[in-house]
Amino acid sequence: MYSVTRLLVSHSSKFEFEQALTRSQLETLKENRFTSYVLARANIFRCKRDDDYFAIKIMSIPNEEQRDNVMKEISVLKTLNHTNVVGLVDSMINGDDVFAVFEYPDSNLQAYMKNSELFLYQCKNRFLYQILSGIAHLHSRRILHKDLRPDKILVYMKSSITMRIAEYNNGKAYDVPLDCFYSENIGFPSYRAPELLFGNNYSTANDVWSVGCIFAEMHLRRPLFSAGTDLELLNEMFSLLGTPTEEIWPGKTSFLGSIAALEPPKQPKELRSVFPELEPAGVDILSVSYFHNFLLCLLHWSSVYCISVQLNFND
Amino acid sequence: TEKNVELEREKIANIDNIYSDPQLCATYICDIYEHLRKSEEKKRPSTDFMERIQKDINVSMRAILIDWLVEVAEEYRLVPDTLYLTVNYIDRYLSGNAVNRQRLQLLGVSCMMISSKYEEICAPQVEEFCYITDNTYLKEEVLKMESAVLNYLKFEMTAPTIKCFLRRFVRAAAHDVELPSLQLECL
Repeated sequence: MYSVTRLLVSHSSKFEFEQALTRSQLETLKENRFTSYVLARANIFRCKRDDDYFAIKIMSIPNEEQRDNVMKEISVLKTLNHTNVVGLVDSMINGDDVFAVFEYPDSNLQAYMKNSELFLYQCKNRFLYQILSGIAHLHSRRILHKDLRPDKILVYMKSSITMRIAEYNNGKAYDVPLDCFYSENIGFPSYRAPELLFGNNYSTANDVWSVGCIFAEMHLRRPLFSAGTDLELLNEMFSLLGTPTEEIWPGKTSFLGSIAALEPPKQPKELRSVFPELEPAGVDILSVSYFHNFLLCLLHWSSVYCISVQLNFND
Repeated sequence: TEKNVELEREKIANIDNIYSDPQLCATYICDIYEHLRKSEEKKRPSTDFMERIQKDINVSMRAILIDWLVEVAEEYRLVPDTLYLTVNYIDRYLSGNAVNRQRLQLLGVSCMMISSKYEEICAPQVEEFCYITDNTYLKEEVLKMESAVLNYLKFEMTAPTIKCFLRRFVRAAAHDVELPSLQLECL
């Protein structure tokens, strides 16, 4: 899939790139008062306007399918307006070129997580709150993300650190009741909610599951689930959270029993042992148990219990 | 909660309390519809563009265009929302741009192409939209008009259609009756 906000993050190969822009592209940028064109990455330019830096993605798209996806993503971005959602500053079409202008991001969550010195316990909770706020905004605009993972969350470090959710290339605004069918091709398996593996339609709960995986990853510093296939993934989920019982997943357990490759039913693991980082002295015991409850709420088998971000906020 | 108390006093059934079905978005539904109402206002065409902006076309020409687009939508089996969005884009474009009668149909197919890209799982190709106009317009012309529309509407292609509201109204009206929403889907 071709996404407007894909890989917005710079890998700072800094060299002047004015000559790589075509004359008409350059004119369009100048018309819009952008100066100092530095190639940040692939077709993304870091430009300056007044005192602020912007990432401008220039897409030359004779390919119609790509053009369609770009059009869709930009129109989705246009309906969103929230500090924790990537903000489209401007967009223009000039001939075959589509220009999408964003505030310049400093990193993404995946890269940021690797930098252990910056990644303290306290900020994880704050990041989680920001990500959930962003998701709540998406959902209240009838938008499902469907493919949340750490590299799709951009990090902005201006006066304070802000997480912004990017990449809406699977999106359009859905009608309620949601009628959004599951497609295998969308979404990275490790962050995919279990009910999707059984062919349920998408719902707001699936995004919340992905956030749960991301939050766990912040603490583990590795993906919570890493299986390559759906079956392995289910086994991995079951061994952490326990095999769902009839009570939790009414009507689904007999089906589970019929899958031969599934491992025998398991009890849930004590999350405390999986997240030892949470145990050091000085960590408020309340926040530890809060974290456990919260993670359990995010990673609940039954989508009914983690139905919405708004509910979680009230807890 | 507050809402429940109020609804009870007014003797109105609460249709937003089914939390067990995530597809119904019970916790978001109020925010969603509040936003839809605002967005409807923002993405509404002007009511007097025919008199104020247009010089070469009139109301009946627009009506002929829309009737024809209904047929195109049937021919290509497009979903209702595609058609509603098409009309929305056409009227919004006409609210700010004078179009002459030779190019009105071009605007129509270009808008339909944009809305089917937005709404359809398999949108018809640009060649098919040229074909349906009996090749009155070249592929390049359709694509150029598409760019003009996208630029003028600033890519704000997400607009609430009547179906978004109708679904909710029917749910509210038919709360006590078991009315299958299938009937609505046939609209």
